[in-house]
Parts: sequence; structure tokens; C-alpha cells
Amino acid sequence: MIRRILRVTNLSFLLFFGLALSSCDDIESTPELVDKLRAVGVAQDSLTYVSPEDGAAAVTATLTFVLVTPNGAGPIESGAAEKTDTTFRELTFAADQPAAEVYADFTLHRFVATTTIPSQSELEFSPLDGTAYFDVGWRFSIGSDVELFQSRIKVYQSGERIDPTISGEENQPLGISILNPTENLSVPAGTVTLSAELSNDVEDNYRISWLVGVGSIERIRTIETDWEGVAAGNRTVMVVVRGLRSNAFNYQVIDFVAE
Amino acid sequence: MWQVVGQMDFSLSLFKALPKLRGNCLEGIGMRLVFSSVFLMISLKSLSQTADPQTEQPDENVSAEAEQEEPTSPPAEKVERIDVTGSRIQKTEVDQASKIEISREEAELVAPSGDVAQVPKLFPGTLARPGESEVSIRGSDADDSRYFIDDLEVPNLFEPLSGTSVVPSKAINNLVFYPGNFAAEYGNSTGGVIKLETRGGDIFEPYSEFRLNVPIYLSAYHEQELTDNSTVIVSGRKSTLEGFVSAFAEDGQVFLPYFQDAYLQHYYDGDSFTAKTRFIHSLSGAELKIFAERSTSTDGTTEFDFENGYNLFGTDIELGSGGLNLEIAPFISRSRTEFSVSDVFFNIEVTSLNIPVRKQFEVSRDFNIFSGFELVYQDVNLQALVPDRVSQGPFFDPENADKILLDIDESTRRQAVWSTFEYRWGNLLLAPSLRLFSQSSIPELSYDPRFIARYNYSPSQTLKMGIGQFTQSPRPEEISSEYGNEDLDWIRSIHYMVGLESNVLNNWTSDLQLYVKNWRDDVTEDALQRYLSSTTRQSKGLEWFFRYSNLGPWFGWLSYTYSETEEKRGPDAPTVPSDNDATHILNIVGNYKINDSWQIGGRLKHQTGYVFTPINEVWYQSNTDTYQPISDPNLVNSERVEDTTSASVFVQKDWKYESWKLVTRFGLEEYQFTKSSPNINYNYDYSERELTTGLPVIPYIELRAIL
Repeated sequence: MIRRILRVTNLSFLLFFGLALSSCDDIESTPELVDKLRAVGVAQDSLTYVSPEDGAAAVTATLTFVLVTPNGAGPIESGAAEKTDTTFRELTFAADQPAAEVYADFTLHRFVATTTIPSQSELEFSPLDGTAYFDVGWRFSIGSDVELFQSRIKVYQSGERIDPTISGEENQPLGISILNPTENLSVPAGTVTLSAELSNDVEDNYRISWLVGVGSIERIRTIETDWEGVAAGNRTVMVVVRGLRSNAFNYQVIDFVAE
Repeated sequence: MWQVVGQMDFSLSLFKALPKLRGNCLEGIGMRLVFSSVFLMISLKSLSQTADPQTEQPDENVSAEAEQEEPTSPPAEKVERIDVTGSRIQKTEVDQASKIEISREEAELVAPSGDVAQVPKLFPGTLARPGESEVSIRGSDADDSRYFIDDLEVPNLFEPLSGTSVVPSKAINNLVFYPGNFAAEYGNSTGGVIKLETRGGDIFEPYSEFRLNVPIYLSAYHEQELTDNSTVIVSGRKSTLEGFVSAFAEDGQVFLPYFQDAYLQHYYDGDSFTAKTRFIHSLSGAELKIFAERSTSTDGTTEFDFENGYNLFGTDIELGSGGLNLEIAPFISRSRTEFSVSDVFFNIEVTSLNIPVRKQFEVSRDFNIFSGFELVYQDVNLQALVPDRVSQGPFFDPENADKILLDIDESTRRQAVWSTFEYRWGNLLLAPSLRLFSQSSIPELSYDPRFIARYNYSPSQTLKMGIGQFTQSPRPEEISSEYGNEDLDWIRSIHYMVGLESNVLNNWTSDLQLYVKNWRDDVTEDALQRYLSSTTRQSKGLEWFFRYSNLGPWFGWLSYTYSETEEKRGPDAPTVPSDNDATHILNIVGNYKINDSWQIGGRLKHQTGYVFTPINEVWYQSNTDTYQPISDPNLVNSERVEDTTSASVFVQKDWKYESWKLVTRFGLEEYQFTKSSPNINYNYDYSERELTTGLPVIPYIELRAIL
């Protein structure tokens, strides 16, 4: 077993650098660029769903699927999806969905659905932290652009202690706001420094991402980074934060002017 | 933010949680400078006395060992001591059906990185993956083979960061490679055996060497005769990489790889026995904090800490009387591995006591009995919080996998007895053997019958064949009662081999072998029971080793392997190519000494592309903001990367001065004419892919001053 582990770490040197060096590739990978239908995340109406005991009243969760598209992209179609070896909980989408929000460079879409929390006998709770998960999945598409969403919803056992950091978040949901650039104000085109700040953050692991309509961002996981190739004109920038333990999710989108 | 996905077996796959390196040429030019710039090696060899210039004029007709400029060759007045080489007691071995042996002098001239232990990469029957030091032998996984330093099985022969052997090349006498059908004294392996045989009795004059390999390490080596019947070797190596590399780290990043190892050996040649006592120490690790796609902090960095090490102490005692030879090689090792990334961690300590005993009894001139026993006690202590890779298939994503907490303290005992009866009847040699073994974690007592025959039907040609069963225990985590499936069975393989050895021309030898190897009850990952004994595999092929060696100005070989390796991962699973399937592998290796000053050498390799599994579905994981690829089980390993051809060349020039000599060596390592590696680069959502180009070509210059 030691040798097996070491074979992994053996790669960590030569292969690490080899891959790094060979990563001067011809094809760019641009997760920050909204150049097609893009999944952004799933917001939950609560971070502390408690599984009902068998026979108790059903508990409903409301989930909001967030996506972005380039402006002018066709209508988004959606439907149920199936995944090998995974059973998805049924989702019910409301007839009236929030209107799309059109920004200078791209459009934000939200789709709200509800699902019922499985009862305790339907779940297998981890001895590690006393929680269980269930999965939801859905398919969104525009023509050949397809995004298959999977989201794992954490569920607590009735009577079990809920992670205090998570319950704290519920009272004051995690927030993120863009500090620079400032909404609707002008900044020089070219390279724009992006920065944001979290609010109500607790002891969680956070994953940041930035989304833009033009140019490129080298480090989309940092809360302060540089956005290069910002063409003059009205521009849009979106920042997203996710709590990896809590499933907390929030974002902000602003328009500004690059001159 | 490239997704790098390969067919490498990331057992715990923590490494995939590490940074997905962005296509920006590694965060600046600094790192590139480190690895694509000139590698400078300065080796200073200090001698206790000035070498006689006459001894530095190699005679092209003497042995390769005598060609060494290193003044270990005894001066003329001590010629009588030359006869006392190696063990006082003749080392006896069963004749083998499949065996390649190479001297240190030849191996270090042509082996990758000049590392003797890596020369099996150039032999038939082996598949080497870029960046890995160990090889897959005849379709086996790399860790299905056993690695020995003499009779001591080491936890890890290769230092994991530099990828080179923990035993200094100068301490090695030769390397022996058994690709299959090996002797009954080697058990618990379905792959092959690689053995480094060290020096001891052939050390006469003090010899010291100090080497600065910029920027990788600093090492010191010393050997000398202590008394008329004892010698000592002391060697140590310490990385210098950490200071060099960290200087190029950008603000906010930390990159501190480090390693050190030591090799101490005492050899005693007494009146009635010899004893070779070794202490081996290896420690390596890395601390990293780098900007990464999988960062879990708002500064965009990921931290990764790793440390691994082991200490091994053992002695190899040989004694003989009359027709009986007896070898006892007890050794104890303690190894430790720790790593952590994000909230995932893994700490394991393994303490192992091995007592192999081996004896040879010469019944008559034509009849030898080899027998022995082996006792192994192993204690494994493991604490870990790791992602469970079960049922995620080849595209395992540790972030999206369930995590499990492990606290395991388990002991295992293994015991084996074996015998080989070697009978020579004229030109025919027959060697049936049997190995009986048991293990505390598997209740069933088991046995491996094996048989080898060799027939010298002419002075220059020998027919040979072998058939036998080779059994291996599942890995500790697989058979663990707390984590794995304690009902797993032995993994068994049957090796069939026929071959022809020929002396074709003067100094040209040919070894042609056909083999078939069938596995059953290999371990399959299962969603419910985590592991099952349900994989069957078959590897079959042809191997040709055509070698030139006349102890003159040049040596070299051609090795060619044609093979097919397929497996079926469960009774209802489709038959798919194995991860280790590569149809054609050709190696041409040579070194030519043009004159006293110039040498030229190199390697040429052609290989069928590695297999990989295509992606046919991708899911966006909203919890982690990542994309997870899914493959169809029927498409596992159904595609290949491009075939690749690569070359390594070097030129060596000796500059001789009145009282010292400067050796310059320069060349290119692994220049790929057709770029290829087993890894595939994908963009962030797997909508585009391209083949990676493997390691960049590394030019190097080596300077060695010999005083």
C-alpha cells in the first residue's frame, strides 16, 4: 500500500511540473467566460433541513437553479435527467418563474423548484457527522448546449445536534458583494482589478468564482484578482461564493463602464 | 484551469484534489527555468592517493568494470587480492527461465536518470509511465512486483520526489530482473522481481565522492576496507531543491519539496560465514500552497502537505559447510506516510519484521535442493479522513465522493515454506518447486506449484519453458476487516512461458520468449462491498532481447515486446483492455566508447499509445462548482493516445590533466518525436480535450572532476 501511495506522490514532482509545463496549451479553458449556457449554482431556502420521522408531516425544500447565458441566446429548455448509479429526488417547478435579469454582457436566469425531504428511514446517516444526503438533478439546454445539474442536499437527523456554524448562517445568510469595480461607475478599460468581500462568513471552506462576458481572469478562485482584456463599454461582472461544508450559496452581479 | 485526467491509479486520489494547473505556463517563467534550464552536476571524487596514470588508460579488451576510471581497481602489487571478490561462499541460485542481469557499469550509462534501478524500463516485458520509476511487468500493475536490495525487500526502492533509487549506484554490483516464472523463494507477487545486488567483498581502496547536482541534491559517498575481512559503505543525500524552487514561488505561494536518504553498509567475511549489514533511511516530503482551481479558501490557494519515510535495518548472513549453504536475512522496517489537503488527511505507519531463511544442499553434482522459509509480521496503523473512491469509476472526484473516517490498527502474519529440486540430466535441467504459504487475514492455506525446464540442445542454443502459479495477497486496505472486504481471496496468476536463448554471433545473444499470464480473483471495486475478488485478466505476448556485450568499446541491446492485456472486472462486465495494455514497445539502447576521451550513447523508444477512457456525459456539481465526467463501462480503455517515439542521447568527453580529470557529459533526456503521454487535458467542462505532451525535453550538462 505504501508503494501504491508513493506512486501517486512520485508523480507529484516530475509529473506535476511536466503537466504544468505542458499546460502551455493551444486550447484555452475559460470557466470565467459566459460564452454559452453556464451553470452557476443552486441556492437552498435553508441550510438545515431536518429529515422528518416516518409518518410525520412532509418537509419541503425550495431550490433555486441559477444559470447565465450570453445576451440574446435562445430560450432555455429544461427537463428531468437521469444519471447512472444515482437516484434523484423528484423536483416540482413552479409555473411562474422569476424573470430573466438582463445585464450588459449576459443574462441571469433563475428556476425555482421544490422537493420533499426524505424521511429518516429513506436515508443513511453518516456515523462521521450524523448527516445524510439526497441528490437532485435537472437538465437545462439551449440547442446543443446542455448543462446537467447535480446538487447534493445535506439533511440532519431529527434530534441530532446541528453544526453551530451552519445554524448561525441560517440566521444571517452568507453574503458576498463586489468592492471593485463599483456598480455603474467608470473604470479604465484593459485590466480591471476585481475584489469582493464576504459577510456573515463562518468557519467554512469557501469557493469563489467570477463570471464575465469578455476578457479573461487568471485566478477565478481568489476574492481579489485581475480581469484582463476588458474592452471599453458597458461591462458586467458576477461573483459567486459557495460554502463547501454548509452548501451556502450567494452571488452579486453588477454593470459598470469601462472607458 | 485544465482538468488533467489520466488512467493512473490514484488509490486515494487526493492528488486530483490538488490544483488544476492553468494554461499559463506555471504561474510565470521561474518554474520553467528550473526544469528546462541546464542541469549542472558537479561530482568531486577525492582519492586517498593519486591514481597511477597508467591505471587510467582503460584497456579496451578488459572488463567493463576495469574500464572504470574510478581507482577501485587494485594496483598491480595487490593483484592477489583481486581474486577475493564477492562472497567467500559461492552464492547459489536456481537456474531461471526468465532472467536479465546487467552490471552497474553498463546500467548507469544508459538507464533513465543514470539510475541503475530504473534500467528495467528498457527491458522487454515492461511498461513505464511518464514520471513513474516503477514498471508494469507483463500486464501486472507496478505494485504487483517485488523490489529487493540483496535479500531485503524494501518498502520503496525509489525516493518518491526525485524518482531515483535510495541505493547509490556505486554501491550496486548488478541488477537482476525476473519478468515472470521466478523462483519459489519469491512469493506474494503476480508480477515480477527486481533485485539490486550490492558490493561488499570487492572494496579495497578508500574511495570518496561528493556530488552537487544542481538544483536537485547534494550527496556524499565513501567506501573503504576496514580490516582484511571487512568493508564499509557510507552514503548520504540531501535535497537542495527546496531553497532553489521556493525562490521562484510567487507571493502567496509556498513550494517546499525536500528529501534525504542514507545508506550504510558493513560487510564482514569471516572464517565460516559472511555478514552484510545494512541500514537504509529515506525521508521525503513537500509543503505546497499554490493557486488552484480546487481552492477552498478565498485567497484562491490550496495547501498540500506530504511526508513519507522509512528506516530499514537488516543483515544478510551466509554460511556454508560441505555441500550446504545457508542464508539468513532478517530485517525490520518502519515506514510512515502522512499527507493532508484541505480537510482530508491520511497517516499510516507500517512496521514490518521479515525473516527469510534459505538453504541450498548439493546432493550430488547434478542434483541440488533449494529450500527455505519466510516469516513476516506486519503491523499497520492508519488514521485517515479520505474520500471513498468506490463506484465512481475511472473519473474519481474526491470532492464529490463520500468521505470516510478510518482508524485502523491491524496486524498481519505471513509464513511460507518453499523448495526447489533442481536436477540436471545431461543437457536437460528440470526444476520443479513448491511454495506453501498462509496469511492471518486469509484463513485458507495455499500453495504455488512451479516448474522450469532448460534444454541445451546445442552449445549456442537453449530451449526453456516455465509454468507455475503465482499468488498474491490483496492489499491491506482491500482485505481490512474495518475498511475493505475480509472475505477476499488470494489473487492468483498462472504464468506460461517458452523461450529460446541463443548465442547468435560473437558477443550477440538473443532471448526470445512467448508468454501467457492468466489472473483470477483480482480485486474489483464494488459499490456495495467496496471490494470483490472478481476480476479476471489475461496478458499474452512475445518478448525479444537482443544484446551485444563484449566488454569492449560498445554495448547495447534491442528489446521488443508485443503484448495484449485484457481484463473483465466482474462476471457481468465487458472485457476491456487493461490499463497496462500497450501492443508494441521497442527499445534500442547503446553506448560507444570512441576513444579514451569520447563516448556517445543513447536510447530510442517507440511505444503504442496508452489506453484511456472516453467521456460520454458530464454533470455540473453545484456544491463544488466543478464538472464531473461519466464514462460508459463498455467504453473503459476503449481509446488510445497517439503512439510515441522518443530519444535520449548523450556525449561524454574526458579532459585529462596532469593530476586530475574532468568528465563532461551532456545530452537530451526523452525527446519525443511524437508527443504523447497517458494524460488527457480537458477544459473546465470537458467539452474540449487534447492530449498532453508529456514531460518536456530536458537538456543537461554534467561536470565531474576526478582528483
